[in-house]
Amino acid sequence: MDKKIVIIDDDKDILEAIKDLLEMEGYQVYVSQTGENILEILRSFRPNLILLDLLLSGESGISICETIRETEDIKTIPIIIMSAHPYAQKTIEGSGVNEFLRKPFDIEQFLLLLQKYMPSH
Amino acid sequence: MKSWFGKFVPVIFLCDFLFTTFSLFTIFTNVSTLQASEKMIDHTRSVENSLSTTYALLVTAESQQRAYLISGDPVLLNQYNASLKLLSSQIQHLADLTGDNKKHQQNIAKLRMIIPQAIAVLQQEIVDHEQSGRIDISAFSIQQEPPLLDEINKILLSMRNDEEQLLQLREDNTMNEYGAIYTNAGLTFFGNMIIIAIAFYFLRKELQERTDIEQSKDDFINLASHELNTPITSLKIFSRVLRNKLSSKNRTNTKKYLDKIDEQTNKLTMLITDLLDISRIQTGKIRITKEPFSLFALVKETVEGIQGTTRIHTIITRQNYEKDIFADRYRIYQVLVNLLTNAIKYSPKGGTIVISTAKKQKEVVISVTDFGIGIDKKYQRKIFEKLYQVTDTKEKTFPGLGIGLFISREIIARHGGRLWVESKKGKGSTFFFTVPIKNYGQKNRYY
Repeated sequence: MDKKIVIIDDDKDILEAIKDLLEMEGYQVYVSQTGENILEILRSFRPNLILLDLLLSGESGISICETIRETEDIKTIPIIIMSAHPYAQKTIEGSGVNEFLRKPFDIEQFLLLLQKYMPSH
Repeated sequence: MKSWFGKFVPVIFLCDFLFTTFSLFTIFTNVSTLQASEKMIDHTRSVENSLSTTYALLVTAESQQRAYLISGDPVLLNQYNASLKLLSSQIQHLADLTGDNKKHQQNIAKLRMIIPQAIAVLQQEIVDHEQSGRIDISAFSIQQEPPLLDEINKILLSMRNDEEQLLQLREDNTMNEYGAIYTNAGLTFFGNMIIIAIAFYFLRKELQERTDIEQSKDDFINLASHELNTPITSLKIFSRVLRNKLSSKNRTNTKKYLDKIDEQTNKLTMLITDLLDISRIQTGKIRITKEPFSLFALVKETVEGIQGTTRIHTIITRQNYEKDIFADRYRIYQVLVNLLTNAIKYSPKGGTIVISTAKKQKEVVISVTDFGIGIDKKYQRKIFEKLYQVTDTKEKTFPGLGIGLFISREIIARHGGRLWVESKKGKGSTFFFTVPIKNYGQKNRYY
């Protein structure tokens, strides 16, 4: 079965790095630097998991998360928020986020975490 | 702004202390004057009493003399003599009380002439009576009421009037003194309130400033963490991908990953260096070691290095100054790198960047021009502040710590030069800075 992930982060180096890594691990990856058109993308791509950076240029990861949670057919997709800020974990409570991932992260643990949300073979 | 607010407050309190001390001192003075006034008023009452007593004694003596003449009772004669004695001591008492008052003393002198005359009349009547054994009642007719008594009366009245006037004066003074005390107390109170209000105003401002500083420190730390963590995360992932590639013997793109890792490492290094510089500037420890070196060569080298980091920009050099300058080579290099990378960063669509050098009197002016997004006039001062980053119309911020210009300006200032910008929003920016050409009589020194 397909393992599909959408990643949103304003740093294009990070996007490229994670994309290359996950493609090597057999994922299908869609990347974006902004939350623009995210709802259409989610509807058509239908990922198993969304990786969302907390602070994007000019928009908040939390608000994107809330928008997704309010949209009927895609609100069940699990969301992981990533952030480099030391105290970010507190600010995301109660916003419908499944996991919080602190940057920089251990690669092994990162892959295991993603695997949790993938359909089992 | 520096914290001269904090320096003001002790001065304010010192002034307040002096002001209050002075006020209290004047209040104490007023109170003593008041007490003196009250004493004077008491004194006046004593004088009035004495005047009354004098008159009463005189009348009593006369009555007793008459009673004796009529009744012949020797007890009355004794009483009469006793009254005369009291009268004389009372006059002395009066004289003592009014010793400092010239007018009163004059009047008392008059009394001392007239009263004995009146007494002499009374005495003569007694003597006549004792000699003739008869009472000549006609001697007591009203016409014989000695005009001396009237005279004495007049004098006593006059003294009483004088004393009344003095009393009025003193009572007015006392009222004034009270008024002065209340006014003083009121002024002290309100003066203090005002001074305390001013002090609080300054303290609040200082507090606000410190809070703002703490806030921007917090913001800075958050930003720094974020910026540093991002290349580190990329580094880890690219290394991992590379490892996978190498272990799976799929060698495609391995070079790409190594380059990426290298690039991220460089970014990180620059960030860390900036952070260290900024903390050194804050503690005043940034070191400048000046020496003569070729600006021409430095610019050429720097441009070559930076040109390699961008494919969409072309850096053109126009060096009109080919000799040496006297400065810290590494620091000037830092400034050039900062200005050139900014020029690249803030013309995201690519284009030309021009760096030029020219001699101007005893300095060299270096300029870096880009044709990118430019800087709105209202931000042209703020960009040199520690934590500022330029945003474009879409409110996207550009990555980096935003401290490059702050450090650059500091470096140039330490060289005795200036760093400034001319820019128009949407058209591009030119950053200028000056460096001295020669060492004016000073050898290599730590600045």
